[in-house]
Amino acid sequence: MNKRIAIVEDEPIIRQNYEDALRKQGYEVESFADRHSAEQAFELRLPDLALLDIGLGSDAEGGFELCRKLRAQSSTLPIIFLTARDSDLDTISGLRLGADDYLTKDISLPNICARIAAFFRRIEANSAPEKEETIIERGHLKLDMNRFTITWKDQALDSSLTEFWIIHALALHPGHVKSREKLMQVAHIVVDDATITSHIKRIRKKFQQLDQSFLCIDTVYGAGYRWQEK
Amino acid sequence: MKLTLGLSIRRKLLIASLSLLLVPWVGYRYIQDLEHQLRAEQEQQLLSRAAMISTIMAMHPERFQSTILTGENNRNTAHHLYIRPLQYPITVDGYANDWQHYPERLHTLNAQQAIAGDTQASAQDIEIQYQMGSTEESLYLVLRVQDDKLIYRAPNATRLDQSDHLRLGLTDQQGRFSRYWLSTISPGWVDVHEIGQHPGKLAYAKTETRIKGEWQEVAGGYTIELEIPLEMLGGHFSFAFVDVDDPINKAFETAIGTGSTHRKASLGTIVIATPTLEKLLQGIQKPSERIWVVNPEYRVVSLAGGGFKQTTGQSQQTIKQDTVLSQIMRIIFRIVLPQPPRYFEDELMGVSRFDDPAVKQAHDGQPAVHWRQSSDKNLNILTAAQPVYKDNKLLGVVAIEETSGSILIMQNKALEILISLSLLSFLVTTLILLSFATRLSYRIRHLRNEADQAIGNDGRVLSEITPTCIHDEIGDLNHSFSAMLERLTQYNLYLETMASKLAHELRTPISVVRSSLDNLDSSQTEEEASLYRQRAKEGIDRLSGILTRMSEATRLEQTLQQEDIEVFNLSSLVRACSQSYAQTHTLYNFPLCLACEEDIWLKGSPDLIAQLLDKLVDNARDFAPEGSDINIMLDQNKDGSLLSICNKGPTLPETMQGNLFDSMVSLRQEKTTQPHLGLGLYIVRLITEFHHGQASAHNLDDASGVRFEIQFPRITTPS
Repeated sequence: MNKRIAIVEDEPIIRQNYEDALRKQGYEVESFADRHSAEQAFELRLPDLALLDIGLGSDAEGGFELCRKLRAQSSTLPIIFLTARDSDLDTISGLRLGADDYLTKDISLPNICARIAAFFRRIEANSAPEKEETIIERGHLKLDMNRFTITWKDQALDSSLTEFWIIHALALHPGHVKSREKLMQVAHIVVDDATITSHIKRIRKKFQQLDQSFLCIDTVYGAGYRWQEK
Repeated sequence: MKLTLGLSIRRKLLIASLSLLLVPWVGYRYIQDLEHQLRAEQEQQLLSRAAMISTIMAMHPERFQSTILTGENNRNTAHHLYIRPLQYPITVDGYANDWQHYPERLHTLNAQQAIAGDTQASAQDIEIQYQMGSTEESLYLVLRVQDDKLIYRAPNATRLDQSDHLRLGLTDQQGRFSRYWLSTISPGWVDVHEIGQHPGKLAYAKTETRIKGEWQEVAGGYTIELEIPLEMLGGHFSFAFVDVDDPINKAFETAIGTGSTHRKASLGTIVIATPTLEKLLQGIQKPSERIWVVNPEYRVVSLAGGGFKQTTGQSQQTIKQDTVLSQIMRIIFRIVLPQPPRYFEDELMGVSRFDDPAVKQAHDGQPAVHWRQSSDKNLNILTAAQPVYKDNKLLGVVAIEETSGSILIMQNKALEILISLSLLSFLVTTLILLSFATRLSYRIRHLRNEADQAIGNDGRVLSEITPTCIHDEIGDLNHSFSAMLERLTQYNLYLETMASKLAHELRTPISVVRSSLDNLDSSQTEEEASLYRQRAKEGIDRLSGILTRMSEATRLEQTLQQEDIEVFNLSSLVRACSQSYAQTHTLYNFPLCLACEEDIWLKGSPDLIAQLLDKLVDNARDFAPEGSDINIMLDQNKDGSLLSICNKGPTLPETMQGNLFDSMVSLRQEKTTQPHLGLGLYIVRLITEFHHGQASAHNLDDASGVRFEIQFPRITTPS
């Protein structure tokens, strides 16, 4: 059965372009121009993945509202924000509302498709635990490459897909410096350097919530970041 | 910024407060004036007292009669003696030491006062000092004679006038004239000889034992002390010392005394202070005064208050309850202010003749006052004199003397109060001014520092100025600074967020283009491909639209400079515009209300006004719910014409109503298809200002929407 993806986007051309692109990937796509129609449809049936814009016409916070409601309906449903707003405040509030990823609109269609595929892979891996496991271990860090899950000292670390990819890229070769461009590339995003910096900060904070003494992500000034084993 | 040049506000105010020093000066002038008034008052008071006493004296002419001596003597040359009572007993021993209590009674006679008829040779270096006094029984007289040759009477001499001797002449109470010559052969008790018809012959002389005399020799002369019973004395008395220097001829050479003793007519007059009159006057007299009664010859017939009693300002008992401060003040006053002297030279203490100018004037019938200085210039003394009349006959003159000490004391007290109050007010005012200035300069410095710190070197607003609640000029300055900074902050914020706003606005069209191109890559059919190309083109159009809008404001500013001005019909322009809005924006209704039937004219550019209307209507459309009315109204008022546009929808925040046009602010929260860079209302303002109008935005009274008003000035309507 094909995965069903819901697109909520008020800009018709973008909506249609995404629809076209995702259909070509073989997904079933429903699209909505405003919050009301989307909510009605979601009450009848939840999609397998939701792609939300934040500002929906005159409804400036419509995307956030939708996200909150969807998360209330299902805790596992992947929700991706795809929006023109790129401020840290919006990113944080989006992720805090339970979104799995927050992307800005200038991302390319292939990048979106890659992410969506990754999300579905993760879901599949979670639902089929017996499959062969691809686990990368770096000291206390464990990365499940199928489920896109991270554990630190056997505690689960809640991470978005972007964060997972960044941690993976850093931890794969400990000690190797990864530039910000490289990290953007692996995370399938096109953002400015400051956004990567704030992603790194958020990742460190998440680790530190589990372990106060976490110091494994090291900033190499002028070059980038590296994973450092103690 | 540091205040390096010039004076600070504090110093300036301090210097300005020096003008307060005028206060003591004015006060000093006032006190001087007060002194004049006090003097005048004292004169009046003293005159009226003198008048009162003169009335009393006139009622008792017998008292005058009894003492007035109008002998046939030479009124101008003969001495008058007013004998004051003695306070201490006198021993008649020929030594003057018991007279030292009465230095003021010491009178000196020298060769110039030689008695003309009795002097044969030219006056030598002879000098006589005498003092007189009386008790109830006797008259006492002491003589100190300076003589270079002491000649005693030879024991075998037959004449009394061939040695140094003293002559007395007097009348008794019955007016009988008698003469006494005193000479001695050695120091000690002296014989008193009454001289009869043959002066000089000892044989004819009768010894008088009632008069006691002692004659002692001192260095350079004699001391002669006499006691004469009062019962022997009438109204006339004179003495003369005869100095004989030639022991061979035994002829006398010089006679010095109070008058010639040869004839009754040449005797001087004498008045012994009589208790009755003196007591009467003493009852009237005040401690600070001296009352004189003189006869028409200015001879003192009565006197009360021999010496002035000094009234000093502070009595001793007040001093101990004073604080340290007031003691310091007192010391300062002592130094600064002239104190009434405790002692001063009273040259009239022992006189027998009182001819003050005031008395002379009173003698002529005119009450008068006269100020004189004491001989040591320590004190001013006021004399007020009144004539005494009885049956149109001048009996004499009453004069009262008073020192100005009480005035000085009053003046000093006033000055003390003045100085204290001036100092106090000076201090208080200076303190108030100083604290005021400190507070003022603190506030200014504080404001300056805040203003300095508010804007960084790069021109960015770093912090705000906290508005004060004090409503004065500095408070105003503070408010305007604060408002200025706020506007600057908003403008800066606008500029700072311009990039992110632009990024936000540009991201959607870029996304359109990018997603279309991505799809174009993967499109299989030409039909599909042309659809995506079409979509990409739309995105590009949108991007260029944004750029157009951005440059609109800049272009408008340039346009305004070159715009031609004409007078046009505003009413018809608004009518035409509103019709075209109704056609183009079918989602809204545009009811037009032209309240004035006549056409309204405006001087300016119709194109710009149309642009202004477009912007206002665009703005209204962005906020008004679909299907609602956007009211366009044009009316005439006292200032000119008023164009207003109302729309339903969200209201403006209270704080923003005033400065919505001031800076390029955008209140939009929602995302719309049109990019908003906050330039619409800025363009409205530019056009309004170009037409010398004023733009304002208000919430509707029922808070259901917003009204934008453009007030245009009145112009003279073309005929």
